Amino acid sequence: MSEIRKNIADFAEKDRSKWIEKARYRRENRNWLRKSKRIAVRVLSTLKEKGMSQTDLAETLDVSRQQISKIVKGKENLTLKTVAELENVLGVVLLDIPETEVEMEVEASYSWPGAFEPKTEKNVTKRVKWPKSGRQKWNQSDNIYRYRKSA
Amino acid sequence: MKIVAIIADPEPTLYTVQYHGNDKDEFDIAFDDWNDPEWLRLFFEENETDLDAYNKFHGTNYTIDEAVLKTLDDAEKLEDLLYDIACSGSEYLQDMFEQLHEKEDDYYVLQKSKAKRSWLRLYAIRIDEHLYVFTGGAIKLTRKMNEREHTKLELDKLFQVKEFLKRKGLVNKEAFEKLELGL
Repeated sequence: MSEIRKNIADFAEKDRSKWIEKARYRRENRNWLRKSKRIAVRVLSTLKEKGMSQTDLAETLDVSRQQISKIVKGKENLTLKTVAELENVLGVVLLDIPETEVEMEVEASYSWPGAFEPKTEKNVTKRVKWPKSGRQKWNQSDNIYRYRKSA
Repeated sequence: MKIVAIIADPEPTLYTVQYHGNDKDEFDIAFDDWNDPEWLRLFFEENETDLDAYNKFHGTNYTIDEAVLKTLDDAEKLEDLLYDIACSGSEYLQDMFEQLHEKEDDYYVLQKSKAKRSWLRLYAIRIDEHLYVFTGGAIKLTRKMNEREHTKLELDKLFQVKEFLKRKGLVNKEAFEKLELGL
């Protein structure tokens, strides 16, 4: 190790930045955190439109101001009950289930047992049968399953 | 001011600073803010005129909500990139960071540097090859840093950290002497 690297390593605090732990948490919980943040964006813009404060919202929902703070920071793993209550109070849809056709992306690590095993060649795309109906494609370049299911 | 390690294995690569009185370091603060819809909404509300000017200049049409969503998405991608570098111990940092001043094409000791993704900026002082001290992050909507207080503050922090590193002797001495002598 060069002298300057050794010097800075010696000079630095013993404890490392907490960022790496937080980044790992954000990555491991990405799917629900993304939804939570999008809900937060909609809640914040609706509060603004309606001229409501977060305290008003907390009082209307009979929850603590801290819980509303977690919701608008996109950190809350919301229950469906809470989402429904927020929708009722704010008069906006926060979660919607498409009725006819759904297209979604699923990370490869979430595939079901016995699913298509990726080949090693780059950019291989292969269709496999989804367990019930529909079809699915996997692209090695981004390690994402793309699944399209018709109603 | 404290120096805090971000990526230090297997080789010291990326550090940041923690200012006196702050309970978080600057790197942690930047990514916490960029992952926070409430903080982002407040930022774009306060800088709505700059967002409008940005839209006009770039031919985009981001509303405040869309700007918040875009920043969340960009921050996620930037964080992924840095997390991968941190976990793999690879030395791609110098590929990420470029000179702060676009007219510079050389690397030198205690150089002001930046990494960017869209309007997100990571500012750092380059100590040596693949060795940086991160000084702060910003959402840059204007052309020049000294046009707005929040980006001007980042310029000041770059200067302060550079002077701190110099004062504490945290420089590559040989390269620094060459620089001072204009070699």
